[in-house]
Amino acid sequence: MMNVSGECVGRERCEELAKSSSFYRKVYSEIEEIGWEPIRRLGGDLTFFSFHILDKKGRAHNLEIQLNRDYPNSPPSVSADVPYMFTLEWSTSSRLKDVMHQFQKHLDYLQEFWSVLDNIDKSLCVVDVKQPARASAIRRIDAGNDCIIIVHIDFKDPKSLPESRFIGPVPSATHMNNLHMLWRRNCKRWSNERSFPENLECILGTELPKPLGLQVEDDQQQVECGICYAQFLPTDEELGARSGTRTDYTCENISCNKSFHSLCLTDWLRSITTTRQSFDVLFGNCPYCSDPVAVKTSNK
Amino acid sequence: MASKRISRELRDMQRHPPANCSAGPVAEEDIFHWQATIMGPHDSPYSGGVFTVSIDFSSDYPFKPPKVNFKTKVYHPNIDSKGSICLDILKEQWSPAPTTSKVLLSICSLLTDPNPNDPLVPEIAHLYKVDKSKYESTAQKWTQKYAMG
Repeated sequence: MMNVSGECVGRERCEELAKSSSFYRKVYSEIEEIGWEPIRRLGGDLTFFSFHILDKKGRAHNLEIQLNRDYPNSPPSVSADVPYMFTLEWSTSSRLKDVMHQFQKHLDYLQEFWSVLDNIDKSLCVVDVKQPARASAIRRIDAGNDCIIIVHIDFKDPKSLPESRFIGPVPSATHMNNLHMLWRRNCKRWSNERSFPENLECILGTELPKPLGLQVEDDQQQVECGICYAQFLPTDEELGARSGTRTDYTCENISCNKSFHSLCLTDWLRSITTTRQSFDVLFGNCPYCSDPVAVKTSNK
Repeated sequence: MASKRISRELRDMQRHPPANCSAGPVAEEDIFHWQATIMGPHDSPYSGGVFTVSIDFSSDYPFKPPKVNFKTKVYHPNIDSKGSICLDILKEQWSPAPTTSKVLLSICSLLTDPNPNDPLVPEIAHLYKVDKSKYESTAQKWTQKYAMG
């Protein structure tokens, strides 16, 4: 709700400013051209913008644009959490939407890079950083026996053999030296056709540690309620202990397997006449597959 | 809850627009009132037409269906002169599962395959049954008259 009200205030402010100078009128019209929905933050003097942009895989990105007073004679400054920033093509007739377009193309170019990193994060045990920055091309991968492989993914050729370093406990360097030797000997086996984790395990001739709780957590985090379409209930005093909780009921039909907040499901079941109740349990049908559901009500 | 789900549906529709339909809020600051356009399906007498539909969500959404009405006049057994639509998923068969996207696709299907056994306009349903070619030519004329240009 804060976002919505913030955006409204920002927009009204923009409309006022647009009346006071040609600079503001120009900037305002260019924002209108892009649309107000992607704007996440807005500088009060209309020289700073933060845009929320989704790439083709639905990853969220934040593009920040800073304008000088002599804009558009001088190009805007552009920054984002990407491994390198594209060279902005700019002329005095360029507009903000051209920046957006170029950034979008840049994101398209980096899709493979991020796909490789996502695969590493999902399939291997990455140490230290829980949520790596989008710009980071480095991963520290647990190789077992307290040894770590540090790899650097080339954003220009993400599927190619990465640069790598090995670190491990000094007193017993046998395992680390062995890994290093295997890498030197087998690195020619690296193939663009195989996924990064497969390549790594093929070269080292061993299965690498998998992320422990990460997989479970990842799976859970994907689950959204089939009724309110959110992962978490709102944080709201009215909801008491349920405030901000994730889905807690799953349809037992294996081919359906929809998840719900039990609060949303009880609200739905209470709104239709066919629901039956026995003590504190509501009996009805899954909104998706119509199989029977039984959900326990409790104090709101 | 209603506004969050509606916002989510709007975002999803913008990212993956359904075929032959488009929809969005009439005014940016009011997410509960949408307008949609439906292209007449090519394998129907409504082909070539562009039909405007209003979609109004209540604060009880998704526990109650949105109110959906044609704004363009259409000659159809299940759509009356006020634009009301006789479609089971918008009435007794409603559940929170369908999205607005799917509702629009269901309306497209209704244009292609009317249901004369559950008519809203009995005369049109009757004509559909006894003289389908006349129904089709009348529907085409209405499409040309009201849904083009």
